Amino acid sequence: MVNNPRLARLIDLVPFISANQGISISDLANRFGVSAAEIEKDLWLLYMCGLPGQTPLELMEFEFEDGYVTVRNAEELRFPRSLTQTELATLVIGLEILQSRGSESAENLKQRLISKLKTKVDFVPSATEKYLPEISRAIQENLILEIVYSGKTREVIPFETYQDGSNLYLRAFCKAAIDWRTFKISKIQELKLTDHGELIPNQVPTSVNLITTQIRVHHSPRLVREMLGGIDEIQVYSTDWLISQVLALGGAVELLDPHLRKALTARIQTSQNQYL
Amino acid sequence: MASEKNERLINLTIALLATKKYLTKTQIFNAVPGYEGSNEATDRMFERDKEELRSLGIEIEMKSIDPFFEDEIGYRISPERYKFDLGSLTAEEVALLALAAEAWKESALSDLARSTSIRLQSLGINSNFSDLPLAPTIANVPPNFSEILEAIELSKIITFNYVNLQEQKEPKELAPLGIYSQSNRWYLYAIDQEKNEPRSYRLDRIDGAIKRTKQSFQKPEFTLPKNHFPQVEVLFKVRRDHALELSNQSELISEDDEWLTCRKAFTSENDAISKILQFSPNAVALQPIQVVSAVTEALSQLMRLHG
Repeated sequence: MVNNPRLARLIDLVPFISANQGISISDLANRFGVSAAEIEKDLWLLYMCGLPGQTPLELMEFEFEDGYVTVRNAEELRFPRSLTQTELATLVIGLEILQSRGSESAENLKQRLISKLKTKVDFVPSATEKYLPEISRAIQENLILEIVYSGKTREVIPFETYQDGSNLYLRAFCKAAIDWRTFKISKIQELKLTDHGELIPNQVPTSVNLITTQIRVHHSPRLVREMLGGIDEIQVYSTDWLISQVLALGGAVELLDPHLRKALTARIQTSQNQYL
Repeated sequence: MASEKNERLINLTIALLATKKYLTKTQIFNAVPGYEGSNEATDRMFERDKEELRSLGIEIEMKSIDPFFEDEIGYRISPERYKFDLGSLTAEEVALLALAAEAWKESALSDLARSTSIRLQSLGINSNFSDLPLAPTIANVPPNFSEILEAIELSKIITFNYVNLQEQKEPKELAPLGIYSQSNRWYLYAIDQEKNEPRSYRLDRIDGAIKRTKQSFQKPEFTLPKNHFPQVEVLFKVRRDHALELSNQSELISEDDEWLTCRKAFTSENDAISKILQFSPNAVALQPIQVVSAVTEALSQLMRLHG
């Protein structure tokens, strides 16, 4: 964990300026994600640092008063510091995603990083990681996506992505259904970015129908919370989905709304008939 | 105050990088401004400084330097180990690594991602960052990632609260071994100190912060349990064009106008039962008999609750 982001920045500034002599303070601020005043404070601090003795001969030399920065006499800190184990692991995971998206050169590089990793980290990208860049681009550039979902191929006009719990969803206009649909991105089987766009017939999605309902938990509360998002009052987008989940929970949870109970018992009965 | 500390840390890093021989604490405290106060206070300060630099990947090496007194310890930073070194990198590889770091730029680890990318651009390798594929994004960020990785790296026991089946917070004391993902979820593989056997823990079920103790452990030989889950084969039928999630990636045994009969390996019997129930009545369990009776028992139970 970087407990001291400023120390990291101070140490990283020296090699970055060495490799980019004459860079402007505003450019530095931009790259390091802090204000120009912050960078100037950093430079003043570094200005006072150097080899033991800290006499003018030993100090690092910075010039930055005209707004452009150069550094001299910074031999020890001239090279960027090595990657931490966490940084190595994040890069391995990033390369894993790139590889799942078809980058062949990622593999060799990944192996090189893994050989430096002292921990075992094993990551398998999901469909979400695999397709998210295309989805974001399609939304940004108004392009149609061709997706395979639930075994069916369809063309959709993407509108937005949103997070619910640990899941990411795509809200899009489905051209086949001529209506708004929500897709769980991890369940998308295939995805292709087309090169054409189309205007959505009625621009904004009809407001999502969020249903609030009460449940009673009989056992396995952790599982219920993870599947339904709550353990007394829950919010769902579709009653069909809710009834399926309650079936899947096999008696761990009871629906309290009379209409939903009726719909559920109807489904239980037809299911039971299958086993007669 | 904070800036004095950072000044001291930078000067310490420079001094320990520049020295050819190991420096004693006394030499360090004389050479680096800022170590003031009692012996105890400066010692504590130095220990904290070491830890802070270590968290940035800067390792201070220690060595016994006095032939007569073993407790005279010397310190230095090896420039070779300090330096960012992944072997010789081509411009394309540098760009690819920077792109890999981009995956984290919207996450809790965005600081690390930015710093990694800045250091890549400090290598003096000119790479073209404009002509690259779309940046990746990690959708499922592992919580407590660096805390766990650091504990594994240092072989230190960790403690945390874990949400159990009953949704109660259960204190755990574990020797962490590795991290893996499966079906879009992150797991910690670790040895439970009480049960003395390795288990997997879902990272999203860890409640609150992870504490690293000072207690070390010996890392055993192990492999991550990924895909080592027992596979249970279940025979079922699904109505044509329904329950595609079930029929996908299953073996088609027979079919008629209405039904497809399929065989599929599930991670557990419970998983199979729950999936078949979820798609009922468009999915019907056929074999083995204990899965069929568990499904019908669950349906009766649901009926008792709602009928």
